[in-house]
Amino acid sequence: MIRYIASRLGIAVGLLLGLMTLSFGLVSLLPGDPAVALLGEYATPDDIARIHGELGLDKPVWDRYLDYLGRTITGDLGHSFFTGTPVAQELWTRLPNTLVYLVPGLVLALLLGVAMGTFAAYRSGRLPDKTFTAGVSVLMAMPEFVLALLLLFIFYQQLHLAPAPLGMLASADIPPPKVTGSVLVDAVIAGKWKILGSVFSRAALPIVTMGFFFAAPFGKTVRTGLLQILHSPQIEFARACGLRPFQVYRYALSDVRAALMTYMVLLFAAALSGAAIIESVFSWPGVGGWSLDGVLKGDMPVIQGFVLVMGATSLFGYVILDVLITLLDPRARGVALRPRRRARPIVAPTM
Amino acid sequence: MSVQGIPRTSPGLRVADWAKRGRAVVFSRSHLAVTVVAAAVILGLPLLALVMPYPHSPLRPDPNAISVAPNATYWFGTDGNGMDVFSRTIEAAKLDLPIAIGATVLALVVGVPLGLFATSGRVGDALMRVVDAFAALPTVVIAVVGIQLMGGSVLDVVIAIAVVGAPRFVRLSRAAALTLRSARYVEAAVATGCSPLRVAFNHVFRNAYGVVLVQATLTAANALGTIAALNFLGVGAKPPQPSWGGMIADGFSMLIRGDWWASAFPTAAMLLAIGSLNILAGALENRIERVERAR
Repeated sequence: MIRYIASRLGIAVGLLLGLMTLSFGLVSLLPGDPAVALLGEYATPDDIARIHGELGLDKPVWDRYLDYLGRTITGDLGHSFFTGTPVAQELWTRLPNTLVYLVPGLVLALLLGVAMGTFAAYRSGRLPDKTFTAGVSVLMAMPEFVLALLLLFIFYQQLHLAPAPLGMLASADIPPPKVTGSVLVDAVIAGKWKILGSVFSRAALPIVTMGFFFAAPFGKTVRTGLLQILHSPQIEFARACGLRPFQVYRYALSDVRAALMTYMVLLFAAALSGAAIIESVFSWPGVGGWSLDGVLKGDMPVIQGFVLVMGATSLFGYVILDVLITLLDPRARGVALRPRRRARPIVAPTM
Repeated sequence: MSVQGIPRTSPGLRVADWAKRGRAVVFSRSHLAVTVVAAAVILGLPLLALVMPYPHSPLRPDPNAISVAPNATYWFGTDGNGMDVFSRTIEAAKLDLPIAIGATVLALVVGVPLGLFATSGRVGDALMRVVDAFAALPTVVIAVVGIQLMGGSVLDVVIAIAVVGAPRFVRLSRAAALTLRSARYVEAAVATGCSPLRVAFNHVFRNAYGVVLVQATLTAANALGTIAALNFLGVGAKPPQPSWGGMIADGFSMLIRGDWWASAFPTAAMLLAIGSLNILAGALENRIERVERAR
């Protein structure tokens, strides 16, 4: 098992190196001079030369590449062109703000999806199933910002239940004393639970938006998976043994688990892109909105840092997923644990 | 992704089949009506934008009518700049739908040959890794990065959306090629000395294009959503030029105050178009299933 995990990690590290190269190439190989982007069209050649020196652009590409690799490995992602703050620090202080609605949102989506998908499969072909299918296709057709606007209109404008989409803290809230720079972590350290409560009341709509948006694909996966497995001999056997429906469905759901987990990681990437949109709707001070802002302004270190962190997160998400699936599925576990004796692949006839 | 609906041994799904079999067999009547309406929406909206005499100019604001609620003069009301929401909603179809469809076609043109030929060997494996990696990246952010780096014209939007969409076609056509290459008629074609190009397109693709077509319709629907999201964020169409996403973004501040019309009508138009494409995809899928079963 350890060997299996190690080999997975090895591949991930290799891919990470590729990712770093890609994010380096993003700046170096594309047309356009960062110094011109920084200073504007009317910069004097002297100024441009000075900025080149500051950014290290006067050195040859190979030197810069090694330099970049070295800095990135030590955790230095460079400084934003526009605000001058270190990208890594900015990412770390903003990440909790995004996770505070992203994680509950995905959990909500999972719960909703599994519950609705199971119910639809249980009543397949009847009214609940048809309602579910119709609802899912409507939700799938709806981009997340439309959902966010709809919820805002209903719960903020019409019912006055939700707070205004003006960020994470009300203007009356006094931010906690600065320790780590992240409002949430600081609030926990200072024990200011009221602020935390205020943040969560503001996070409610983003959480619900995420929950509904991602419940649709989860529900669909669960329903399709369950409908397949419910006609399998093992479930027939479980039924024949006289198990209660609840037990039968528990067994059936454990079969859908691997598919759901794969989906979860894929959705994490989609959720990051959704985060950019949701954060710009709710003016939320998270990673998504910040990186999007950086992209729109052409802030290269921000783009690089974001691509790198995002790619790395997905990569290690895949590794964890692979390992978890192997641990949970006895069949896959057997394959992974078998000593390295590779069967020769059957060569298919070439076209 | 499965490759259901790919016949293994018989020649392909022909468009002519649509007419041959009695229509009542193909669709139930209500279903046919829905399909026709969906097709009419997709084809009609851009055409309408081309030929319709607008009640008001979609580009020129009326300073005397700012944020006016829907009435007899302004059917859908006006937005915060005093521009007619109705004309702009129709005008936006002229931009958004062709971009979505153009991007899908481009993704098809790039993705399908790659998938058909990358079935084996090291290049193919490497390509599939790239395709997998793409699936793990957030599409909207990648599209925004791409568009910003390329400059931000309409063509850049088409390219970015196509790049984001192409991996699906690579995967789908590769799966088809892997399933079909052991089929009897493909072996026969190879044995009689057909060129690989001919085998790939004339024998493999022609028997799989139904699934690809369904996927293409779904991709176009997705692309519409992505384009709207991009325009909502301010990437793509330049300000006076109306786009559904941009109009929704413009109407956002009005929506918060309770003036729903400036966002609601473009949203409805966009959802109508996305829904129509989804319905068309469903109809195509049904159609393919029926052809399958008839054999």
